[in-house]
Amino acid sequence: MAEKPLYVLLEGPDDERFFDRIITPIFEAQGYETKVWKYACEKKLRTIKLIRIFRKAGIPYIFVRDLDRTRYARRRVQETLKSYEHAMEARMVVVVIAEIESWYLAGLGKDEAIRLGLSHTPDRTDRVTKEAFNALIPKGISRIGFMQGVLDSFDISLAKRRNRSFRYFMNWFIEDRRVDEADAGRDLP
Amino acid sequence: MPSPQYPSLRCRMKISKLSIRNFKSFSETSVVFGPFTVIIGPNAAGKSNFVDVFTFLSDCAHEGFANAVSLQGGGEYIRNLRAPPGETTRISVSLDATADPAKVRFFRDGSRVIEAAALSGTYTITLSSDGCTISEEVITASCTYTLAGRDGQVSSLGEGEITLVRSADGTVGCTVTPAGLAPEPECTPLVPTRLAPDESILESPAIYPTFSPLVSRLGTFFRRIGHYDLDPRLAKRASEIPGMAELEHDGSNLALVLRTILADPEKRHRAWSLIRDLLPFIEEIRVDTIAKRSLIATVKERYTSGTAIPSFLLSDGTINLTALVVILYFEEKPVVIIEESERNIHPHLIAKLVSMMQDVASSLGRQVIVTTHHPEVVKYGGMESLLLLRRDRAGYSVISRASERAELEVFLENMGIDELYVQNLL
Repeated sequence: MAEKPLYVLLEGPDDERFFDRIITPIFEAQGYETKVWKYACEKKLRTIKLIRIFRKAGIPYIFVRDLDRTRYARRRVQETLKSYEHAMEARMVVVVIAEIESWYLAGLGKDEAIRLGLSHTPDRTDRVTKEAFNALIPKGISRIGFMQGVLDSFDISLAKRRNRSFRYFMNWFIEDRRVDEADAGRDLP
Repeated sequence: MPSPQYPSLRCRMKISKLSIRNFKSFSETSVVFGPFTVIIGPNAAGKSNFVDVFTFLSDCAHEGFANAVSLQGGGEYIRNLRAPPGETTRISVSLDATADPAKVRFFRDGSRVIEAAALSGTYTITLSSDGCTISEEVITASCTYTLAGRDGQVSSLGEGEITLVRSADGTVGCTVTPAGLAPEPECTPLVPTRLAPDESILESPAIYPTFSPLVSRLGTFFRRIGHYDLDPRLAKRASEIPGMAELEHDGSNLALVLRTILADPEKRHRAWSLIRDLLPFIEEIRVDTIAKRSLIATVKERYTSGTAIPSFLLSDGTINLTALVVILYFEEKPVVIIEESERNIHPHLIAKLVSMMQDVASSLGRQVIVTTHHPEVVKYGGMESLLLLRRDRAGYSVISRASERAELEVFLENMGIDELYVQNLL
């Protein structure tokens, strides 16, 4: 079966690392070839034009965005739509709560955390920001090496329990296969 | 997975500022350095000449001044070809040693032991007008002084400076401020030796025994600057088993260096994780011995159903990325300079590569300096890291920092810095 393209719009390399190791293999198993567009260093207009092309051509896409300082995910989705001139559909926007680092940490078990030199990990990671994550990394350890260490033993079931935005993503896009529906051009509820 | 252990740097100084006069294509310029620097500019703007400053200093400490001059092609090619006759060439490097101060102890008033901790310093070398001998060398260390008591207690004695000056006649003198903290007996060399006209104080730190730890520290720092210009054709070849443990400038002993890394299970795992981050299709890297004389790296890819491919059949990009991971994460260098690191690498991978450089600079405390022609490096390196080189009307190389050029702001509202770079509008 020929692989269908799925475009994932991510902020930068940290998000790309997470998707490459954890999410892409799952989409591959569902018959998609994932292609990544990193939008943070691109001019907004280029990203807007790209999404319009996806929609015109009926190519499935997912737009992943951090919650950042916004308080509610729904508000962040609206902000994103406005900021990108309503190029994308709200249902294709995933808000990572709070930042991609919270998804990394969500799948890290206690034993693995100790092995990586962490004295503690939060029970829930919805409030973990980039700064909080960086503060957890033992001094003199490469951040990327640490992230790879986390991904080596990443537990998806655990991550779904510890981060609600990750659970939402997995349920909506992976288990409910909403990308297939978008691919087929059907309207979603 | 074992906990990752990164090599601890033997000296954790950083270059904070560089000033040069009449060096190669430069007339007079100064640059302030951060942890990560991307040097860009058109062809023949002076990028390699700029990087040569560090190579020259490293060679001075490693091979001696005379050889360092020779390795640059001789005195006439070190000094700017348009410099007026009689004008000297000068290089001045400011260093920040706050993270790991250089310490010296000496006696004062007979039995009082004073410890000077150098938190920052400057090394300046002035070459004679023919570029072949040294007119002056000055080492200035800004110190905090403490009095070390017999019971192990210390008390602060304030701040000051230690200055070592080597004159054109080869004599070395020293000044300590405040004067009341100068070593006793007098601050003079034990042996009244003179340095040869083409001999740097970095080659003979013991000429001033009391302060030799400061000079040694400086020499070690310069010696350990890593300057790389990778040649994938050489890096692909088999390495002779007897060879340098550190990666050569061109990567030609990559197999030998990889063997050492792969022999350690923790390093092996870490190297594989980092290489896989860039090249996810790689499943295993191994180093095999050929006829008990040479080593060759082999790679198993996802696509080759378990067959190991020898390095000479690998793509240039695979070899370059492997060598870059070794340079960034496994070479024990306080400053890493990489020329055109993006060579042979697909643009989509550049963001990850740049993020690794930034990671090494911020997490591991190494200074990373890269030269590039690639717009993706410019884009992901970010404005703050960009140093722009160009030639002025007179042909001298000039440097500016992109983030300090206010006139760019209006362009950047609608265009990316990479687009401005590609159109040569920077």
